[in-house]
Amino acid sequence: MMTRDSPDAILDSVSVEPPPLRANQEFDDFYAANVRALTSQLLAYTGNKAEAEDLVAEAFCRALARWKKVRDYQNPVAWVRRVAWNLATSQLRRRGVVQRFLNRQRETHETAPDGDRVDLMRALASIQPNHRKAVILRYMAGLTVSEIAEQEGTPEATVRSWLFRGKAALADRLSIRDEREQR
Amino acid sequence: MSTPEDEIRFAEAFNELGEAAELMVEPPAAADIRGRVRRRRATRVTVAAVAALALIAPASWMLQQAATAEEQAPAAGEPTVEATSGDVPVKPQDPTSAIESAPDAETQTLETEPPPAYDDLLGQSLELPDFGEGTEAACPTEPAQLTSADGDGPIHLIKVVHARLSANGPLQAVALVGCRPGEAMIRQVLAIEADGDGFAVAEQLYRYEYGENGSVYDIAPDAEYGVLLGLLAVEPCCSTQIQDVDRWIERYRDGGLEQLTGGVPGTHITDLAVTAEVVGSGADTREVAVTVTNLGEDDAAQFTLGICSTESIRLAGEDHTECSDGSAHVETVNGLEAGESYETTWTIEVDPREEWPEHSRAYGQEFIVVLQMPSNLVDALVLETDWDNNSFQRIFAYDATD
Repeated sequence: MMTRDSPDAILDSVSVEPPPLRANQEFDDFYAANVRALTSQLLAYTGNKAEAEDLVAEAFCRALARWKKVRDYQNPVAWVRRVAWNLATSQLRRRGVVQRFLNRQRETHETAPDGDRVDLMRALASIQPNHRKAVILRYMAGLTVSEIAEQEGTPEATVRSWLFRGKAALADRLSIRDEREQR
Repeated sequence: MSTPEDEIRFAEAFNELGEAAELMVEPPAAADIRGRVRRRRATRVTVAAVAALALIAPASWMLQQAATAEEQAPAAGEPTVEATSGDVPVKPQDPTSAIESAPDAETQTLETEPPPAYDDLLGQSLELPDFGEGTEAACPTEPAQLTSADGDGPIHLIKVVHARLSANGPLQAVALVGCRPGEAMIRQVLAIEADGDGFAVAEQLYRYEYGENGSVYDIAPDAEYGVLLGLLAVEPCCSTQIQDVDRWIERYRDGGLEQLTGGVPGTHITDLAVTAEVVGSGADTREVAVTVTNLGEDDAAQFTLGICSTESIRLAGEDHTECSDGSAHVETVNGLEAGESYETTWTIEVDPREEWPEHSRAYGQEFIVVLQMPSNLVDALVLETDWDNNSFQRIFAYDATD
Protein backbone atom coordinates (compact mmCIF):
# COMPACT_ATOMS: atom_id res chain seq x y z
CA MET A 1 0.00 0.00 0.00
CA MET A 2 1.32 3.40 -0.89
CA THR A 3 1.79 5.85 1.95
CA ARG A 4 2.21 9.60 1.74
CA ASP A 5 5.88 9.16 2.64
CA SER A 6 6.79 6.92 -0.27
CA PRO A 7 8.74 8.46 -3.16
CA ASP A 8 5.80 7.93 -5.47
CA ALA A 9 3.57 9.75 -3.07
CA ILE A 10 5.99 12.67 -3.05
CA LEU A 11 5.92 12.74 -6.83
CA ASP A 12 2.15 12.61 -6.79
CA SER A 13 1.94 15.39 -4.29
CA VAL A 14 4.08 17.75 -6.32
CA SER A 15 2.13 19.97 -8.60
CA VAL A 16 3.57 19.41 -12.06
CA GLU A 17 1.60 21.41 -14.51
CA PRO A 18 1.14 19.45 -17.73
CA PRO A 19 1.52 21.46 -20.91
CA PRO A 20 -1.72 22.07 -22.84
CA LEU A 21 -2.76 19.23 -25.12
CA ARG A 22 -2.10 21.20 -28.30
CA ALA A 23 1.45 21.91 -27.16
CA ASN A 24 1.82 18.20 -26.40
CA GLN A 25 0.83 17.25 -29.91
CA GLU A 26 3.02 19.99 -31.36
CA PHE A 27 6.05 18.71 -29.45
CA ASP A 28 5.28 15.10 -30.37
CA ASP A 29 5.12 16.00 -34.06
CA PHE A 30 8.32 17.99 -33.80
CA TYR A 31 10.02 15.09 -32.01
CA ALA A 32 8.81 12.49 -34.50
CA ALA A 33 9.91 14.59 -37.45
CA ASN A 34 13.45 15.16 -36.24
CA VAL A 35 14.59 12.59 -33.72
CA ARG A 36 15.84 9.93 -36.13
CA ALA A 37 17.77 12.30 -38.35
CA LEU A 38 19.45 13.96 -35.38
CA THR A 39 20.26 10.64 -33.72
CA SER A 40 21.78 9.27 -36.91
CA GLN A 41 24.03 12.36 -37.17
CA LEU A 42 25.19 11.93 -33.58
CA LEU A 43 25.70 8.21 -34.21
CA ALA A 44 28.02 9.09 -37.08
CA TYR A 45 29.88 11.48 -34.76
CA THR A 46 30.15 9.34 -31.63
CA GLY A 47 30.16 5.91 -33.28
CA ASN A 48 27.99 4.64 -30.45
CA LYS A 49 24.27 4.08 -30.92
CA ALA A 50 23.25 4.13 -27.25
CA GLU A 51 25.28 7.26 -26.62
CA ALA A 52 23.80 9.03 -29.63
CA GLU A 53 20.28 8.11 -28.50
CA ASP A 54 20.99 9.40 -24.97
CA LEU A 55 22.46 12.68 -26.20
CA VAL A 56 19.56 13.41 -28.52
CA ALA A 57 17.00 12.39 -25.90
CA GLU A 58 18.64 14.77 -23.44
CA ALA A 59 18.51 17.58 -26.01
CA PHE A 60 14.81 16.96 -26.61
CA CYS A 61 14.20 16.84 -22.83
CA ARG A 62 15.73 20.28 -22.53
CA ALA A 63 13.65 21.49 -25.45
CA LEU A 64 10.46 20.16 -23.87
CA ALA A 65 11.34 21.74 -20.51
CA ARG A 66 11.30 25.16 -22.21
CA TRP A 67 9.02 24.28 -25.09
CA LYS A 68 6.97 27.47 -24.85
CA LYS A 69 10.10 29.44 -25.63
CA VAL A 70 11.82 27.03 -28.02
CA ARG A 71 8.79 26.54 -30.27
CA ASP A 72 8.76 30.29 -30.95
CA TYR A 73 12.34 30.28 -32.18
CA GLN A 74 12.76 30.77 -35.89
CA ASN A 75 14.33 27.31 -36.17
CA PRO A 76 13.59 25.08 -33.15
CA VAL A 77 15.34 22.09 -34.67
CA ALA A 78 18.53 24.13 -34.97
CA TRP A 79 18.28 24.78 -31.22
CA VAL A 80 17.90 21.08 -30.43
CA ARG A 81 20.68 20.18 -32.85
CA ARG A 82 23.00 22.69 -31.23
CA VAL A 83 22.24 21.39 -27.75
CA ALA A 84 22.76 17.76 -28.82
CA TRP A 85 26.05 18.54 -30.52
CA ASN A 86 27.21 20.64 -27.58
CA LEU A 87 26.48 17.74 -25.27
CA ALA A 88 28.39 15.40 -27.57
CA THR A 89 31.32 17.79 -27.80
CA SER A 90 31.43 18.19 -24.02
CA GLN A 91 31.29 14.46 -23.55
CA LEU A 92 34.09 13.89 -26.01
CA ARG A 93 36.14 16.68 -24.45
CA ARG A 94 35.68 15.18 -21.01
CA ARG A 95 37.08 11.93 -22.24
CA GLY A 96 40.09 13.95 -23.20
CA VAL A 97 41.62 12.26 -26.16
CA VAL A 98 40.52 11.03 -29.50
CA GLN A 99 42.52 7.88 -28.96
CA ARG A 100 40.13 6.67 -26.32
CA PHE A 101 37.29 7.32 -28.69
CA LEU A 102 39.01 5.22 -31.33
CA ASN A 103 39.74 2.43 -28.88
CA ARG A 104 36.11 2.33 -27.92
CA GLN A 105 35.21 2.15 -31.59
CA ARG A 106 37.20 -1.03 -31.90
CA GLU A 107 35.54 -2.55 -28.86
CA THR A 108 32.00 -1.90 -30.07
CA HIS A 109 30.33 -4.96 -31.48
CA GLU A 110 26.84 -3.74 -32.11
CA THR A 111 24.93 -4.01 -35.34
CA ALA A 112 26.39 -1.51 -37.75
CA PRO A 113 25.71 -0.44 -41.28
CA ASP A 114 27.27 -2.81 -43.76
CA GLY A 115 29.57 -2.55 -46.78
CA ASP A 116 30.70 0.90 -47.83
CA ARG A 117 28.90 2.46 -44.90
CA VAL A 118 31.13 0.60 -42.46
CA ASP A 119 34.14 1.99 -44.27
CA LEU A 120 32.71 5.48 -44.03
CA MET A 121 31.95 5.09 -40.33
CA ARG A 122 35.45 3.82 -39.66
CA ALA A 123 36.98 6.57 -41.71
CA LEU A 124 34.89 9.14 -39.84
CA ALA A 125 36.03 7.73 -36.51
CA SER A 126 39.65 8.20 -37.48
CA ILE A 127 39.55 11.90 -38.39
CA GLN A 128 39.70 14.88 -36.01
CA PRO A 129 36.50 15.60 -34.09
CA ASN A 130 36.12 19.11 -35.52
CA HIS A 131 36.58 17.83 -39.04
CA ARG A 132 34.19 14.95 -38.42
CA LYS A 133 31.60 17.29 -36.98
CA ALA A 134 31.82 19.69 -39.92
CA VAL A 135 31.54 16.93 -42.52
CA ILE A 136 28.54 15.33 -40.80
CA LEU A 137 26.75 18.62 -40.37
CA ARG A 138 27.42 19.51 -44.00
CA TYR A 139 26.60 16.23 -45.68
CA MET A 140 24.24 14.46 -43.29
CA ALA A 141 22.41 17.38 -41.72
CA GLY A 142 22.61 19.43 -44.93
CA LEU A 143 23.73 22.62 -43.20
CA THR A 144 25.48 25.38 -45.10
CA VAL A 145 28.93 26.59 -44.09
CA SER A 146 27.39 29.69 -42.54
CA GLU A 147 24.87 27.61 -40.56
CA ILE A 148 27.66 25.39 -39.21
CA ALA A 149 29.68 28.48 -38.32
CA GLU A 150 26.70 29.91 -36.48
CA GLN A 151 26.07 26.69 -34.58
CA GLU A 152 29.69 26.35 -33.53
CA GLY A 153 30.34 30.06 -32.95
CA THR A 154 33.31 30.00 -35.28
CA PRO A 155 34.28 32.02 -38.35
CA GLU A 156 33.13 30.59 -41.69
CA ALA A 157 36.76 30.33 -42.77
CA THR A 158 37.39 27.92 -39.90
CA VAL A 159 34.46 25.75 -40.97
CA ARG A 160 35.69 25.74 -44.57
CA SER A 161 39.08 24.62 -43.29
CA TRP A 162 37.50 21.84 -41.20
CA LEU A 163 35.48 20.68 -44.19
CA PHE A 164 38.44 20.77 -46.54
CA ARG A 165 40.67 18.83 -44.18
CA GLY A 166 37.91 16.45 -43.15
CA LYS A 167 37.04 15.59 -46.71
CA ALA A 168 40.68 15.18 -47.67
CA ALA A 169 41.27 12.85 -44.71
CA LEU A 170 38.17 10.81 -45.53
CA ALA A 171 39.03 10.58 -49.20
CA ASP A 172 42.52 9.49 -48.29
CA ARG A 173 41.35 6.76 -45.93
CA LEU A 174 38.63 5.49 -48.24
CA SER A 175 40.87 5.41 -51.29
CA ILE A 176 43.54 3.52 -49.35
CA ARG A 177 40.95 0.87 -48.56
CA ASP A 178 39.80 0.81 -52.19
CA GLU A 179 43.35 0.20 -53.31
CA ARG A 180 43.84 -2.58 -50.77
CA GLU A 181 40.64 -4.27 -51.87
CA GLN A 182 41.71 -4.12 -55.51
CA ARG A 183 44.99 -5.90 -54.75
CA MET B 1 40.95 20.59 -54.22
CA SER B 2 37.66 18.77 -54.35
CA THR B 3 35.88 18.41 -57.66
CA PRO B 4 32.12 18.50 -58.28
CA GLU B 5 32.34 14.71 -58.70
CA ASP B 6 33.85 14.43 -55.23
CA GLU B 7 31.02 16.52 -53.85
CA ILE B 8 28.46 14.24 -55.46
CA ARG B 9 30.24 11.12 -54.14
CA PHE B 10 30.35 12.58 -50.63
CA ALA B 11 26.71 13.60 -50.75
CA GLU B 12 25.66 10.15 -51.97
CA ALA B 13 27.80 8.31 -49.43
CA PHE B 14 26.49 10.35 -46.53
CA ASN B 15 22.96 10.12 -47.80
CA GLU B 16 23.23 6.33 -47.75
CA LEU B 17 24.84 6.39 -44.32
CA GLY B 18 22.11 8.68 -43.03
CA GLU B 19 19.34 6.44 -44.32
CA ALA B 20 20.94 3.31 -42.87
CA ALA B 21 21.64 4.98 -39.53
CA GLU B 22 18.08 6.28 -39.27
CA LEU B 23 16.83 2.71 -39.60
CA MET B 24 19.34 1.52 -37.05
CA VAL B 25 18.69 3.93 -34.20
CA GLU B 26 16.00 3.29 -31.61
CA PRO B 27 15.07 6.60 -30.05
CA PRO B 28 12.69 6.60 -27.09
CA ALA B 29 9.04 7.47 -27.65
CA ALA B 30 7.92 11.05 -27.15
CA ALA B 31 6.00 9.87 -24.08
CA ASP B 32 9.30 8.73 -22.52
CA ILE B 33 10.79 12.17 -23.04
CA ARG B 34 7.71 13.68 -21.45
CA GLY B 35 8.05 11.30 -18.48
CA ARG B 36 11.69 12.21 -17.95
CA VAL B 37 10.93 15.92 -17.94
CA ARG B 38 8.02 15.42 -15.57
CA ARG B 39 10.21 13.47 -13.13
CA ARG B 40 12.92 16.13 -13.26
CA ARG B 41 10.44 18.89 -12.52
CA ALA B 42 9.08 16.89 -9.63
CA THR B 43 12.57 16.26 -8.28
CA ARG B 44 13.42 19.96 -8.54
CA VAL B 45 10.33 20.93 -6.57
CA THR B 46 11.13 18.26 -3.96
CA VAL B 47 14.72 19.45 -3.68
CA ALA B 48 13.53 23.04 -3.31
CA ALA B 49 11.21 21.92 -0.54
CA VAL B 50 14.04 20.12 1.23
CA ALA B 51 16.25 23.20 0.85
CA ALA B 52 13.53 25.35 2.39
CA LEU B 53 13.33 22.90 5.30
CA ALA B 54 17.08 23.11 5.68
CA LEU B 55 16.78 26.89 6.05
CA ILE B 56 13.93 26.65 8.51
CA ALA B 57 15.66 24.05 10.69
CA PRO B 58 18.64 26.23 11.68
CA ALA B 59 16.26 29.12 12.25
CA SER B 60 14.27 27.02 14.70
CA TRP B 61 17.50 25.93 16.31
CA MET B 62 18.58 29.56 16.65
CA LEU B 63 15.27 30.38 18.30
CA GLN B 64 15.80 27.61 20.82
CA GLN B 65 19.30 28.87 21.50
CA ALA B 66 18.08 32.43 21.92
CA ALA B 67 15.42 31.27 24.38
CA THR B 68 18.02 29.51 26.51
CA ALA B 69 20.86 31.99 25.96
CA GLU B 70 20.73 33.24 29.52
CA GLU B 71 21.09 29.70 30.86
CA GLN B 72 24.04 28.64 28.66
CA ALA B 73 27.34 30.49 28.61
CA PRO B 74 29.23 30.12 25.27
CA ALA B 75 32.62 28.44 25.31
CA ALA B 76 35.41 31.02 25.47
CA GLY B 77 36.87 31.94 22.07
CA GLU B 78 34.50 29.70 20.13
CA PRO B 79 32.65 31.54 17.36
CA THR B 80 29.28 30.07 18.20
CA VAL B 81 25.95 30.95 16.70
CA GLU B 82 24.76 31.88 20.20
CA ALA B 83 27.32 34.66 20.31
CA THR B 84 26.14 36.02 16.95
CA SER B 85 22.48 35.69 17.66
CA GLY B 86 23.01 37.24 21.04
CA ASP B 87 23.76 40.52 19.24
CA VAL B 88 20.48 40.39 17.37
CA PRO B 89 17.20 40.72 19.26
CA VAL B 90 15.05 37.68 18.48
CA LYS B 91 11.40 37.25 19.34
CA PRO B 92 10.85 33.56 20.02
CA GLN B 93 7.26 33.80 18.76
CA ASP B 94 8.31 35.17 15.37
CA PRO B 95 9.93 32.37 13.32
CA THR B 96 11.06 34.69 10.53
CA SER B 97 12.77 37.34 12.59
CA ALA B 98 15.94 35.32 13.13
CA ILE B 99 16.39 34.88 9.39
CA GLU B 100 15.54 38.46 8.55
CA SER B 101 17.73 40.04 11.17
CA ALA B 102 20.85 38.02 10.42
CA PRO B 103 21.75 39.82 7.15
CA ASP B 104 21.64 43.21 8.91
CA ALA B 105 24.31 42.09 11.32
CA GLU B 106 26.34 40.68 8.44
CA THR B 107 26.00 43.76 6.30
CA GLN B 108 27.63 45.85 8.98
CA THR B 109 30.61 43.52 8.97
CA LEU B 110 30.83 43.26 5.19
CA GLU B 111 30.93 47.04 4.71
CA THR B 112 34.44 47.04 6.06
CA GLU B 113 35.53 43.90 4.22
CA PRO B 114 37.33 43.93 0.87
CA PRO B 115 35.41 42.80 -2.22
CA PRO B 116 35.33 39.03 -2.83
CA ALA B 117 38.45 37.50 -4.35
CA TYR B 118 38.75 34.61 -6.80
CA ASP B 119 38.80 31.97 -4.08
CA ASP B 120 35.76 33.52 -2.39
CA LEU B 121 33.72 33.23 -5.58
CA LEU B 122 34.91 29.83 -6.74
CA GLY B 123 32.19 27.26 -6.14
CA GLN B 124 29.56 29.87 -5.36
CA SER B 125 26.13 29.70 -6.98
CA LEU B 126 24.62 32.94 -8.18
CA GLU B 127 22.23 34.27 -10.78
CA LEU B 128 24.10 35.40 -13.89
CA PRO B 129 23.02 37.32 -16.98
CA ASP B 130 22.51 34.81 -19.80
CA PHE B 131 25.24 33.99 -22.29
CA GLY B 132 23.08 34.76 -25.33
CA GLU B 133 20.22 33.26 -27.27
CA GLY B 134 20.40 29.53 -27.77
CA THR B 135 22.89 28.98 -24.96
CA GLU B 136 20.35 28.45 -22.18
CA ALA B 137 20.75 24.70 -22.03
CA ALA B 138 24.53 24.56 -22.29
CA CYS B 139 25.10 27.60 -20.07
CA PRO B 140 22.51 27.57 -17.27
CA THR B 141 22.50 30.81 -15.33
CA GLU B 142 19.60 30.55 -12.91
CA PRO B 143 21.64 30.04 -10.82
CA ALA B 144 25.08 29.02 -12.01
CA GLN B 145 27.83 27.46 -9.97
CA LEU B 146 31.21 29.01 -10.72
CA THR B 147 33.85 26.36 -11.38
CA SER B 148 37.53 26.84 -12.03
CA ALA B 149 38.82 27.60 -15.52
CA ASP B 150 39.73 23.95 -16.06
CA GLY B 151 36.84 22.57 -14.01
CA ASP B 152 33.96 20.49 -15.27
CA GLY B 153 31.84 23.59 -15.70
CA PRO B 154 29.74 24.53 -17.51
CA ILE B 155 30.28 28.03 -16.06
CA HIS B 156 33.93 28.89 -15.47
CA LEU B 157 35.32 31.59 -13.22
CA ILE B 158 38.41 32.65 -15.14
CA LYS B 159 39.69 35.68 -13.24
CA VAL B 160 38.70 38.20 -10.57
CA VAL B 161 40.23 41.67 -10.16
CA HIS B 162 39.45 44.54 -7.82
CA ALA B 163 38.82 47.95 -9.34
CA ARG B 164 36.97 51.23 -8.85
CA LEU B 165 34.48 51.61 -11.69
CA SER B 166 34.08 55.36 -11.12
CA ALA B 167 36.54 57.97 -9.82
CA ASN B 168 35.18 58.03 -6.27
CA GLY B 169 33.41 54.70 -6.30
CA PRO B 170 34.10 51.79 -3.97
CA LEU B 171 36.54 49.04 -4.80
CA GLN B 172 34.55 46.28 -6.53
CA ALA B 173 35.16 42.70 -7.60
CA VAL B 174 35.08 42.34 -11.38
CA ALA B 175 34.98 38.80 -12.72
CA LEU B 176 35.69 37.26 -16.10
CA VAL B 177 33.24 34.38 -16.47
CA GLY B 178 33.02 31.98 -19.40
CA CYS B 179 30.93 29.19 -20.82
CA ARG B 180 31.60 27.01 -23.83
CA PRO B 181 28.29 26.10 -25.53
CA GLY B 182 30.12 24.86 -28.62
CA GLU B 183 33.74 25.04 -29.66
CA ALA B 184 33.91 28.75 -28.91
CA MET B 185 33.83 30.17 -25.40
CA ILE B 186 31.53 33.04 -24.52
CA ARG B 187 33.01 35.25 -21.83
CA GLN B 188 31.37 38.07 -19.97
CA VAL B 189 32.71 40.62 -17.52
CA LEU B 190 30.64 41.12 -14.38
CA ALA B 191 30.85 43.28 -11.29
CA ILE B 192 29.99 41.05 -8.33
CA GLU B 193 29.13 42.10 -4.81
CA ALA B 194 28.26 40.44 -1.51
CA ASP B 195 24.57 39.80 -1.07
CA GLY B 196 23.55 38.46 2.31
CA ASP B 197 25.29 35.12 2.76
CA GLY B 198 26.14 34.87 -0.92
CA PHE B 199 27.01 37.03 -3.87
CA ALA B 200 25.11 38.75 -6.66
CA VAL B 201 25.90 40.34 -9.99
CA ALA B 202 25.78 44.11 -9.61
CA GLU B 203 26.47 45.00 -13.22
CA GLN B 204 27.31 43.40 -16.59
CA LEU B 205 30.24 45.30 -18.07
CA TYR B 206 30.64 43.31 -21.27
CA ARG B 207 29.47 40.15 -23.02
CA TYR B 208 30.93 38.57 -26.13
CA GLU B 209 28.23 37.90 -28.69
CA TYR B 210 28.49 34.33 -29.96
CA GLY B 211 30.19 34.25 -33.36
CA GLU B 212 30.77 38.02 -33.48
CA ASN B 213 33.92 40.12 -33.18
CA GLY B 214 35.29 41.20 -29.83
CA SER B 215 36.01 38.15 -27.71
CA VAL B 216 37.32 39.25 -24.30
CA TYR B 217 40.35 37.16 -23.36
CA ASP B 218 41.42 38.88 -20.13
CA ILE B 219 40.71 41.71 -17.69
CA ALA B 220 42.91 43.87 -15.46
CA PRO B 221 42.39 46.86 -13.17
CA ASP B 222 43.30 50.20 -14.76
CA ALA B 223 46.12 52.04 -12.97
CA GLU B 224 43.84 55.04 -12.31
CA TYR B 225 40.32 53.63 -12.17
CA GLY B 226 38.17 51.35 -14.29
CA VAL B 227 38.82 47.92 -15.79
CA LEU B 228 40.90 47.06 -18.86
CA LEU B 229 39.45 44.51 -21.27
CA GLY B 230 41.74 42.65 -23.66
CA LEU B 231 39.78 41.89 -26.83
CA LEU B 232 40.38 39.74 -29.89
CA ALA B 233 38.63 40.18 -33.22
CA VAL B 234 38.15 36.42 -33.47
CA GLU B 235 37.42 34.04 -30.63
CA PRO B 236 40.52 31.82 -30.63
CA CYS B 237 38.55 28.70 -29.92
CA CYS B 238 39.95 26.56 -32.65
CA SER B 239 43.50 27.62 -33.07
CA THR B 240 46.62 27.66 -31.00
CA GLN B 241 47.96 30.56 -33.08
CA ILE B 242 46.82 34.07 -32.20
CA GLN B 243 49.66 36.10 -33.76
CA ASP B 244 47.71 37.38 -36.73
CA VAL B 245 44.43 38.01 -34.95
CA ASP B 246 43.47 41.69 -34.53
CA ARG B 247 43.51 42.65 -30.89
CA TRP B 248 42.88 45.80 -28.94
CA ILE B 249 42.24 47.05 -25.42
CA GLU B 250 39.16 48.82 -24.10
CA ARG B 251 38.61 50.41 -20.71
CA TYR B 252 35.35 50.30 -18.81
CA ARG B 253 34.79 53.22 -16.47
CA ASP B 254 31.93 55.53 -15.51
CA GLY B 255 29.40 53.18 -17.07
CA GLY B 256 30.92 53.01 -20.55
CA LEU B 257 33.64 51.43 -22.70
CA GLU B 258 36.33 53.32 -24.61
CA GLN B 259 39.00 51.92 -26.89
CA LEU B 260 42.59 52.72 -25.85
CA THR B 261 45.29 53.45 -28.37
CA GLY B 262 49.06 53.35 -27.98
CA GLY B 263 50.88 51.31 -25.41
CA VAL B 264 48.96 50.36 -22.31
CA PRO B 265 51.15 49.75 -19.28
CA GLY B 266 50.83 46.37 -17.63
CA THR B 267 50.03 44.29 -20.70
CA HIS B 268 51.88 41.07 -21.37
CA ILE B 269 51.48 39.96 -24.99
CA THR B 270 53.97 37.15 -25.16
CA ASP B 271 55.10 34.11 -27.06
CA LEU B 272 56.86 31.84 -24.61
CA ALA B 273 58.55 28.75 -26.01
CA VAL B 274 59.76 25.82 -23.95
CA THR B 275 62.29 23.14 -24.83
CA ALA B 276 63.80 20.29 -22.82
CA GLU B 277 67.06 18.48 -23.39
CA VAL B 278 68.64 15.53 -21.59
CA VAL B 279 72.03 16.78 -20.40
CA GLY B 280 73.08 13.97 -18.10
CA SER B 281 72.30 10.33 -17.33
CA GLY B 282 72.51 8.26 -14.15
CA ALA B 283 71.54 4.63 -13.55
CA ASP B 284 67.81 5.29 -13.60
CA THR B 285 67.78 9.06 -13.84
CA ARG B 286 68.20 11.77 -16.44
CA GLU B 287 69.12 15.39 -15.90
CA VAL B 288 66.83 17.47 -18.08
CA ALA B 289 67.59 21.10 -18.90
CA VAL B 290 64.32 22.97 -19.40
CA THR B 291 64.62 26.29 -21.22
CA VAL B 292 61.90 28.91 -21.64
CA THR B 293 62.45 31.74 -24.09
CA ASN B 294 60.27 34.82 -24.45
CA LEU B 295 59.85 35.35 -28.18
CA GLY B 296 57.07 37.93 -27.70
CA GLU B 297 57.03 41.69 -27.84
CA ASP B 298 56.32 42.29 -24.12
CA ASP B 299 57.79 41.09 -20.86
CA ALA B 300 56.02 37.97 -19.68
CA ALA B 301 54.11 37.89 -16.40
CA GLN B 302 54.25 34.99 -13.98
CA PHE B 303 54.09 31.52 -15.53
CA THR B 304 54.28 27.95 -14.27
CA LEU B 305 56.12 24.87 -15.46
CA GLY B 306 54.69 21.41 -14.97
CA ILE B 307 55.22 17.88 -16.11
CA CYS B 308 53.11 14.94 -17.16
CA SER B 309 54.31 11.54 -18.29
CA THR B 310 53.62 7.90 -18.97
CA GLU B 311 53.84 5.45 -16.08
CA SER B 312 57.54 4.57 -16.19
CA ILE B 313 58.78 8.16 -16.04
CA ARG B 314 58.38 10.73 -13.27
CA LEU B 315 59.97 13.74 -11.66
CA ALA B 316 62.42 12.39 -9.07
CA GLY B 317 60.62 11.60 -5.84
CA GLU B 318 57.15 12.35 -7.24
CA ASP B 319 54.31 10.25 -8.60
CA HIS B 320 53.74 10.46 -12.32
CA THR B 321 50.76 12.42 -13.65
CA GLU B 322 49.05 11.13 -16.78
CA CYS B 323 48.84 13.79 -19.44
CA SER B 324 45.13 13.11 -19.84
CA ASP B 325 44.77 14.27 -16.19
CA GLY B 326 46.66 17.56 -16.71
CA SER B 327 50.15 18.18 -15.37
CA ALA B 328 51.87 18.32 -12.00
CA HIS B 329 53.17 21.75 -11.00
CA VAL B 330 56.95 21.87 -10.72
CA GLU B 331 57.87 25.54 -10.42
CA THR B 332 56.58 29.09 -10.79
CA VAL B 333 58.64 31.73 -12.57
CA ASN B 334 57.93 35.37 -11.80
CA GLY B 335 58.17 36.91 -15.23
CA LEU B 336 60.62 36.92 -18.11
CA GLU B 337 61.77 39.93 -20.14
CA ALA B 338 61.16 40.03 -23.89
CA GLY B 339 63.98 38.23 -25.69
CA GLU B 340 65.33 36.64 -22.51
CA SER B 341 65.56 32.97 -21.55
CA TYR B 342 65.07 31.10 -18.29
CA GLU B 343 66.80 27.78 -17.68
CA THR B 344 66.21 25.21 -14.98
CA THR B 345 67.30 21.61 -14.49
CA TRP B 346 65.05 18.77 -13.40
CA THR B 347 65.89 15.21 -12.47
CA ILE B 348 63.71 12.61 -14.14
CA GLU B 349 63.45 8.98 -13.01
CA VAL B 350 63.13 6.42 -15.79
CA ASP B 351 62.30 2.84 -14.81
CA PRO B 352 64.59 0.13 -16.24
CA ARG B 353 63.38 -0.92 -19.69
CA GLU B 354 62.59 -4.47 -18.58
CA GLU B 355 60.04 -3.07 -16.11
CA TRP B 356 58.16 -1.12 -18.75
CA PRO B 357 54.67 -2.41 -19.43
CA GLU B 358 54.46 -4.40 -22.61
CA HIS B 359 51.95 -2.10 -24.24
CA SER B 360 54.37 0.81 -24.08
CA ARG B 361 57.33 -0.90 -25.67
CA ALA B 362 56.47 -0.17 -29.28
CA TYR B 363 55.88 3.53 -28.75
CA GLY B 364 58.20 4.09 -25.84
CA GLN B 365 57.69 6.19 -22.73
CA GLU B 366 57.41 9.95 -22.71
CA PHE B 367 57.28 13.04 -20.58
CA ILE B 368 55.91 16.42 -21.56
CA VAL B 369 56.99 19.74 -20.06
CA VAL B 370 53.94 22.01 -19.87
CA LEU B 371 54.10 25.80 -19.61
CA GLN B 372 50.98 27.59 -18.38
CA MET B 373 50.12 31.23 -17.73
CA PRO B 374 47.56 31.47 -14.93
CA SER B 375 46.34 34.98 -15.71
CA ASN B 376 44.02 34.89 -12.69
CA LEU B 377 47.10 35.38 -10.48
CA VAL B 378 48.24 38.53 -12.29
CA ASP B 379 46.63 42.00 -12.16
CA ALA B 380 47.49 42.63 -15.80
CA LEU B 381 46.34 41.65 -19.29
CA VAL B 382 48.03 38.42 -20.29
CA LEU B 383 47.89 36.86 -23.74
CA GLU B 384 49.96 34.01 -25.12
CA THR B 385 49.97 34.33 -28.89
CA ASP B 386 51.29 30.88 -29.76
CA TRP B 387 50.37 27.87 -27.69
CA ASP B 388 52.03 25.40 -30.07
CA ASN B 389 55.44 25.86 -28.43
CA ASN B 390 54.24 25.92 -24.83
CA SER B 391 54.85 22.26 -24.28
CA PHE B 392 57.73 19.99 -25.15
CA GLN B 393 57.51 16.24 -25.56
CA ARG B 394 60.47 13.90 -25.02
CA ILE B 395 60.14 10.22 -25.93
CA PHE B 396 62.39 7.46 -24.58
CA ALA B 397 62.56 4.48 -26.93
CA TYR B 398 62.39 0.93 -25.61
CA ASP B 399 65.53 -0.06 -27.49
CA ALA B 400 67.44 2.66 -25.60
CA THR B 401 68.45 4.41 -28.80
CA ASP B 402 67.48 7.80 -27.37
